[in-house]
Amino acid sequence: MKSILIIEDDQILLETMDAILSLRGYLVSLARNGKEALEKISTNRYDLVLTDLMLPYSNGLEIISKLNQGDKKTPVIIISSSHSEESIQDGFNIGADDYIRKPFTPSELLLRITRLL
Amino acid sequence: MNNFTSYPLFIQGALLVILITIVAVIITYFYIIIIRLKGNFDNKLRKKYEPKFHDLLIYEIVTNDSSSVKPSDLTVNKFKELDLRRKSVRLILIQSIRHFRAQFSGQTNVALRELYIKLNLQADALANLHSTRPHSIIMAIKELMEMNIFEPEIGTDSFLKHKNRYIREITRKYIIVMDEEGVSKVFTSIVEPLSGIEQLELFHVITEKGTSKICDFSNWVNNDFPSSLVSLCLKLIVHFQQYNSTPIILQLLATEDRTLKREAINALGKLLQVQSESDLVAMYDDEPEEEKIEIIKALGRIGSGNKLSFLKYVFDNEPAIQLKKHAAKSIVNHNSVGLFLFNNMYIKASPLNRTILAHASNNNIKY
Repeated sequence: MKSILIIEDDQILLETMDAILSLRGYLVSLARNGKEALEKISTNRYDLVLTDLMLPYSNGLEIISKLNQGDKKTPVIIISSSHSEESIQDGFNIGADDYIRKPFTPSELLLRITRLL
Repeated sequence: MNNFTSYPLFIQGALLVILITIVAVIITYFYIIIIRLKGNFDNKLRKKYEPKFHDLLIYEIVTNDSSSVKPSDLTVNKFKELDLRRKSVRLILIQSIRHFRAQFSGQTNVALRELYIKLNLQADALANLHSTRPHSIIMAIKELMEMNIFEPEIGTDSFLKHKNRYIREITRKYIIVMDEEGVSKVFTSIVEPLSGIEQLELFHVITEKGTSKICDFSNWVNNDFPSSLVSLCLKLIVHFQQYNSTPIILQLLATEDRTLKREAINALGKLLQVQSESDLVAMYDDEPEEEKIEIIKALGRIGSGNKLSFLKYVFDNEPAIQLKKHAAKSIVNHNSVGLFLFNNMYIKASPLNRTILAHASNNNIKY
């Protein structure tokens, strides 16, 4: 079973993505802020990480660079609102693999995850 | 009471002030308590119903793989069972649906709207349109706009002339976004000057609209409308490249309003209207410096090459350094057409003129 970490501060979006992915058989972990995410990343390995960029405590870019510090690269998908294009570019520059712009469709989310796993 | 009247007048006055103050403090405390009680009550309701609504929205709408965007009666009934007769509960569901719609697009987004309509949740917003509180009206219009609900008989057109400017603003946005003929309705209703931020918002809403037909903005380029609206229309004409508006913009060159005249010249330049070059050159001598600069810049933008000798004349003979600078820049903006002239001028130029020409040809120096 593939494991996915979702890092998102919007509770509704977090719960919804959790439901979408759990129903498809993924093992989902949730983090509501950057601090929680960094703790989870340091203690667990994930097959894929979905992260927002604007997060409390540590932003998405810090999390992506932390993920890329190890030997094995973890695929990362950025979930972004439309007004952070520069941040998305920065995300790609430091190792993100894909991005999804909000609002998105559940099928788009699944397709992009399937492509990377 | 007998005792009260026996007191001196200033004591009576002081007692009255004390009494009024005590009553005011009691009313204020009472009001605060009521607000807090209502807040606590709403929070309890939210804690009780929000998770249920979220679960239903997630499992019945978002993760539902059905090909239909219309929620089934079974799904609708599941929501109805959750005490939707109470306004506070309906409000929680409406907020949840709006939040979900902001996160998800496509079929999910449409299905959420269909659910909202099937549950007749728009009824509260429609009722609030008749409220006496401006805030309620504004929030109602925002909700209807977000939920993509528009019927001409709703009567929002009347808000275009509402005395509250915030209601007027949100109504303009709503009608432009929702109504096919919205721009025309809104522009025709504008009788007072638009502030800079209002112009910016209207420009943003109209240019973002995208799906419907674009109206002819030159309809509002005349003296019957506020100059701020004419100014906005000039910017929209340029944005949508409405070249057939040129004759009307040319008429505007005769206006007494100097700001509008400059904007008209600017629009002709940005529309690259070669046929306007002669009019611009003909009016040049009679204009103040700011308008002269706009004319020179417009000739540079058009860049036909027909008026290079005029630009050279301006550069050689105008005493004002600003005019020389812009004439040089406009010659440079002709690119290859102006290159030969520019090189000739540079060779023969005085030290000052040579510096101006060097600055004009330097892409890092912007003006």
